[in-house]
Amino acid sequence: MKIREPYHLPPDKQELNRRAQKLEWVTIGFLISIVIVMYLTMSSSQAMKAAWIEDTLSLIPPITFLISCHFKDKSPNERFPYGYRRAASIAFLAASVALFMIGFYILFDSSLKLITREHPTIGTIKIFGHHIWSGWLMITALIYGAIPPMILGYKKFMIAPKIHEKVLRTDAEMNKADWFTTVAGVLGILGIGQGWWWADSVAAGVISFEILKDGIVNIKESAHDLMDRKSVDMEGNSMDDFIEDLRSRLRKLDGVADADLRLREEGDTLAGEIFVVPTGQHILLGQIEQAHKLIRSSSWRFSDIVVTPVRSLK
Amino acid sequence: MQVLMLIILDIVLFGCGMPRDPNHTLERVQGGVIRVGVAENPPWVKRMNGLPEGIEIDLVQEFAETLNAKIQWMWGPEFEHMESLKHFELDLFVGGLTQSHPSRKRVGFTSPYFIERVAIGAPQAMIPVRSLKGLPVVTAEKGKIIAELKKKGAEPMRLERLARLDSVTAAPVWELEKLGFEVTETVLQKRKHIIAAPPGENAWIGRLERFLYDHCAQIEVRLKQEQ
Repeated sequence: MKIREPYHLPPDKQELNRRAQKLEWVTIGFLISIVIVMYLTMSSSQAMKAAWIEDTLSLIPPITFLISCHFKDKSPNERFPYGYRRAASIAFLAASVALFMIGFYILFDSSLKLITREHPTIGTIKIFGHHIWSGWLMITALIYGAIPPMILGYKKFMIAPKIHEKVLRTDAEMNKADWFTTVAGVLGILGIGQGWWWADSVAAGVISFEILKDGIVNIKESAHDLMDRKSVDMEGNSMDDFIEDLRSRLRKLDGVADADLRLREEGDTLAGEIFVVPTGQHILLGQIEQAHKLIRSSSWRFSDIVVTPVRSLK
Repeated sequence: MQVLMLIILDIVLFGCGMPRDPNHTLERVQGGVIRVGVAENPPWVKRMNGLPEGIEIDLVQEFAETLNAKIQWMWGPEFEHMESLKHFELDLFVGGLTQSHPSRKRVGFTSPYFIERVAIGAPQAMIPVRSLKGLPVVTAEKGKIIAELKKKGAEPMRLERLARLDSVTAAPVWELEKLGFEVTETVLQKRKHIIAAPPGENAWIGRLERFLYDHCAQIEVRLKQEQ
């Protein structure tokens, strides 16, 4: 079988990609420290448990991104003639499903605790010779858990559209939204401090909704991606203008009567077919190559284009 | 700027007096009555002529004095006391309980105020104890300790009270020291002693935890004085 040509990002995009990978490694490092800190302080608070689970889950997108970066660059071979670019989409889908199921579990668990009227016990802890309420320690852990992700999330959010990386952007969005989880968790614990035993479970429920929402949005995204949905740009706007422009430029080529395209997204790249109706009976190899070059040079995102002459576009 | 100051002030005022009890236990017992469930478990809780005595009883009595409160003692089986705590019908339950108790998730436990190590001890003449395999070990303990000894290949011999001073013995470290044994490094169990309270009464539990921490030094001394 004819194996696909290997595809590589242009140098400036490669640079951004490298920076994104570095940010993700840093993210993983911070997240591990946050997960440990929160595990040590969470004791019997539902909200802390939910926040801790959410932080542990936030490890999935960075890991997914780094794995996909590793696979993306592998050249297509005999076994995988189309290359490995789809590996990322699969990982993305798996991660989204995991997110969804766990969000559901937390919602279920905290609702149960609300119905059975469980009062969370949060005692005191001795620190530096003073007895303080463990709740203060938990609040500190929560705030610590919010700051690095928010800073890193902002940085990643800036890079993502430039290299058209959906996983990166989703990860950045989840990080930026960490402030919401943190506020909910802090309010939950302050609520317990005020004697409102239900505050904790309610906060946990709220956090679980965030996780569920993340899960659903990402499942939709990754499923559509795998189903080769008509590509949209990073903001979700249609690419009709871009495609129309390509169509008209193709029609202007020598020996081309009419042309159309069919594109699909493969992670950050675009692949597809170009249908060309020649003016005469035959189409020259040179003209096909011209059409090919036109498309490839129009955007860095095109990885694999097949030009095929057809009798008509109907 | 002024808004920020107001917000900080609000937070500080809000924070003062935290945590609070959902069921106002601490408020209620001050100058009032503390309902304490008791279950026999010497030397922590003993029954003498129907009245409770013991290390934990003394601690609770001193604690009550700091609150200007009287105590209502209630004897009964453990599971009943745990149920009462869950339904806020009791304020405390003492019975030599440890942190590994199965009810730990449904009621409130203080953090451990004393860690009791159960270890192997031996008379001076038999030190060092090289291996427990096939060795007869005397103990007054039940259940887990017997199983642990068997796991290590020893032959446990159960007595009601420790008396023999000429054989390898498994007992809490304070008891081994009292009987004049040399304590080896083999620890069979670590018991983290706690006192049980109603779930979520965090001001009440916090107050007790502070008290226990301040008085935990006396416990070792008291244990050695036990008959």
